Amino acid sequence: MTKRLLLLGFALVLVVSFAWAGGRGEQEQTGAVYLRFYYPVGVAGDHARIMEEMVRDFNSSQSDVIVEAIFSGGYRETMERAQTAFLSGNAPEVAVLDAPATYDLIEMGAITSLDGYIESEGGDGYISRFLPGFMEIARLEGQTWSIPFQRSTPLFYYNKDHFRAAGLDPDSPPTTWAEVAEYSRVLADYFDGDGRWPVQVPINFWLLKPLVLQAGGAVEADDGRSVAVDTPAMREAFGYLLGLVEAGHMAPIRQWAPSVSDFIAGNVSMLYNSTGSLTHISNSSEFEVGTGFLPTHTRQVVIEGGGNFFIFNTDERRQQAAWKFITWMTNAENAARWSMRSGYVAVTEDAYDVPAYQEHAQRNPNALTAFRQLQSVEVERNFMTYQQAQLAELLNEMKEDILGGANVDSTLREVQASADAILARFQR
Amino acid sequence: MHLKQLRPYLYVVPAFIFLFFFTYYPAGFAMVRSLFHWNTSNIQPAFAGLHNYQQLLQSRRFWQVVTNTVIYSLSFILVSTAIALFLAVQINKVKRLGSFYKSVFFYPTMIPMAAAAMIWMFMYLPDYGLINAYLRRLGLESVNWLNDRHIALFSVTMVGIWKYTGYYMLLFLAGLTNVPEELMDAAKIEGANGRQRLFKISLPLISSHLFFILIIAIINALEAVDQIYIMTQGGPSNSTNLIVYFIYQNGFRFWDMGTASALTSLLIVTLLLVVSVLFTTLGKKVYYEV
Amino acid sequence: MKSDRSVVAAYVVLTPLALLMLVPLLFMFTTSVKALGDILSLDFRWIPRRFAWENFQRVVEVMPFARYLYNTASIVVMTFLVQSVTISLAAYAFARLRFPGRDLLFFLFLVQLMIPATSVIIPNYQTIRTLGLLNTRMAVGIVYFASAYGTFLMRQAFRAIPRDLEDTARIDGCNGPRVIRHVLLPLTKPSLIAFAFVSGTFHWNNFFWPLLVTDTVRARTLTVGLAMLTQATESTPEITITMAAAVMITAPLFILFLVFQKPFIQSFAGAGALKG
Repeated sequence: MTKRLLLLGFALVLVVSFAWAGGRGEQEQTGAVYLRFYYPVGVAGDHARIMEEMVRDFNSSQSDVIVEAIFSGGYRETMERAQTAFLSGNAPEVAVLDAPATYDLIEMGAITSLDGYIESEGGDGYISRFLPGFMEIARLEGQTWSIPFQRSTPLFYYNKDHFRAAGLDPDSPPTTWAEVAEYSRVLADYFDGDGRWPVQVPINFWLLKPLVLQAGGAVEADDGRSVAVDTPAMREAFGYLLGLVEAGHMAPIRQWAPSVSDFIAGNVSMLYNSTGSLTHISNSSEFEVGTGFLPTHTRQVVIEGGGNFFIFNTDERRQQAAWKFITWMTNAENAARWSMRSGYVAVTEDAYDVPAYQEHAQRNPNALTAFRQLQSVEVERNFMTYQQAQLAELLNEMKEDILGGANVDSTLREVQASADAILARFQR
Repeated sequence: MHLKQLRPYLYVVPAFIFLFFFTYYPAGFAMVRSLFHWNTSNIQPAFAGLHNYQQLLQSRRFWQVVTNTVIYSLSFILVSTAIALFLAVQINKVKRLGSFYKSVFFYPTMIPMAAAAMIWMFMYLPDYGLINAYLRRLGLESVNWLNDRHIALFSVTMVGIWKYTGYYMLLFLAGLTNVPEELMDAAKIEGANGRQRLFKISLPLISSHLFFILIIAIINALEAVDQIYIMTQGGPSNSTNLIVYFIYQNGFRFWDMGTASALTSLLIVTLLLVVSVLFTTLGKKVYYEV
Repeated sequence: MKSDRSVVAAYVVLTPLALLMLVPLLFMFTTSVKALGDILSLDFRWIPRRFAWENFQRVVEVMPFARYLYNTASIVVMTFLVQSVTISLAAYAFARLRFPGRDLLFFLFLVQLMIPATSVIIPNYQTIRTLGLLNTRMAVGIVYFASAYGTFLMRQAFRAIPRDLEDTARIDGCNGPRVIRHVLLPLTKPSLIAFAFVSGTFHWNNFFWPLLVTDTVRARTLTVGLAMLTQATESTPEITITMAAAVMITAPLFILFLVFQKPFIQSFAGAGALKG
């Protein structure tokens, strides 16, 4: 009897200790520096696989650093996890995070400035490899905080088959807001109420900010401490969107992912989206996909977006190791490799010289649209403030409110008040 | 002698330790920390008095969340318990297939809410969703189930009702099978019709079940979060943000643990208040069989 | 005697409702074997044009299913084992022993039913962090180690057993824990099994708490793994793959349910015994 009790107790201890051990894996047995690397991807499919493949290659390319790639969900979830882990004293050593979170990461004292490391690689000579539009968001208050990695810009997608069928030129997408409205009319006539939509600008603040800029306005102050939504440019941007909705050319509210499905299925002809969706859209669509610059208004401008590499404050040895990993991941070959496989814009100029990339670009001319857009129009940085996650959420809600039929004036006023309250503690 | 008096407590201690650390202590911890600024600017909590509460009471989003939670809870509780009672009464009548019906209505309990939420999310898709496809076949207008702020909360509530009704039905059935058949027959001879028999005999006899189901339903309603996280993330326009999701959003997404603690305290107080009010009012009237 | 008319009416009402109830389940199955092209059409069809069994293959490729399954199963088993110890000890005290403060303690246990773990995620997260348990399977289970529900259930069961049996055992020299183990538990096996079904289902399906305290593949559960499949930002969630994954994570428990429908249903209905 006692024996069976003992056995039960033993089994219990075993199970419990198994469970306890759950989180602690192989820790630096070999003397190499062990790094935990959080990264986000859209869908766990191919992006995660490519990332793990690259990290494995990095690990086998040298013996000083072992990186464990930890898939942490989307951008929002990864930021949330990295931030919470840091505040719990358990930060990853290195992470790819949504770059606009930089102010918050600095405020928390989570990340280390990279200037010293950049200096050791040759300073400006090293950094000038990166496309200039992408470095702007990495520099704040005179220091460099991150290294561009999976960068994207908004991109205009259109269905060439629909264009042809509706009598539009499949090689000249609309270039202005007015033309979008006009093309929509043509497409709507062609669809004749069969349930398909001419155009979609999904609910995501990332696609609203460029409209405001194009209308000659601004959203947030450069120091990230104030936000202005109750402005003429904002009204103009909403005027454009509401015009499309009221004409019956755009479904009022579509979230990001379903709008991509709509486009792939041929239920939407023109789509505002990200360069990051390029691979998925090209592979899944059964029609000819066209891409173009974001249609403009009074000012030719676009914003950038996506993830950068950040190094968390740990100790010099780990930070050094993390830096080594980052330089490897962003060297010409790997920048090209990541871009080709994922669809993100290659972040360095030398990546475009890699032979494999040139071949790839020849086969997929759409891959270069984003690059050309970055070079030919002004690039402003992504929406970037303190309490960025909270404000981005607020602004998404604002877009849902207004496109959902709420009064524009009172909504903008209320959102302005909420934004001011959120940023109150950051006023100097 | 002393040791012997302590012995009964030793039996309770193992469970009590876990209850203490993961139920009572957290409640206290939340109340204390709700009095602190504890956010990205104050990684070390800094005393703030009632500031977090003040901020909340002044914010539009907080009142939206309160309204959403009340609407969700009331509609969820009323509809799911009503349907559950109805189903239980019907199933109690049938002789054949009774266990088949029970299984069919009960199976959603076996499906994780995370999976259920995804199933419904895809059924709700505006263009290729199952539901709109059938609406179109019937010649009706498509509905933007999860993206229309006037409808999304309703859509989310449906998922909760689908998931929990079968369970409540089972609890009602457990009560109904205890209602003696002779009593029913006697009532029938006296000329009582079906509705009278239900409200005058069955319901009073299963009032303790009803009471218990009500309490479970209240708790299930207030702790709803999985489907919100997966289906709507509180949107559109904050129209499906419920209290637990709001706590999570403030605490983990915006990293404002002070505000999240204040919300936690408010939730705990509400739960305790609602349940104890129920116990002192309805609970006394409940008919106990034993 | 029940009137035939009302019985027929019951069938007439129940059958369509039952079919309606099954729609989400059938939708999950059919979507899980559709090709993406089949999904993205305005016309919904129940039978796929082509059965895309490779969706399941894809799930295994993009998500470490076996590891998640192992994590989930070990959390379920561990939690139940610990719970069965804590609840039977406490239930014994409440059912059989007299001591000052017993009713107060019992009331304190009751409070747990009113403060579900989901409502205290913020403080519990801090506690788990302090204990150094973040990203472990222990973190997922430990919050539930005490169960007021289980305690009540076992207390009811113990009370129903005549005291004489225990007294005999006691004369034979058995002390409290041994009495529980060798006299009470064998006689109340059905209650313990009922609790196992309820607890197991809850922890198999649990989502939000594991989502918060797990960070890597080593500790994530099935439901968390499923959610990670759809956190789309710059791409689209693949509906078919997600539904295939949903089928896979639901299947183990669901098959168990199909096989043991009666005991499952009785176990859940047993919650009604929680009165007074």
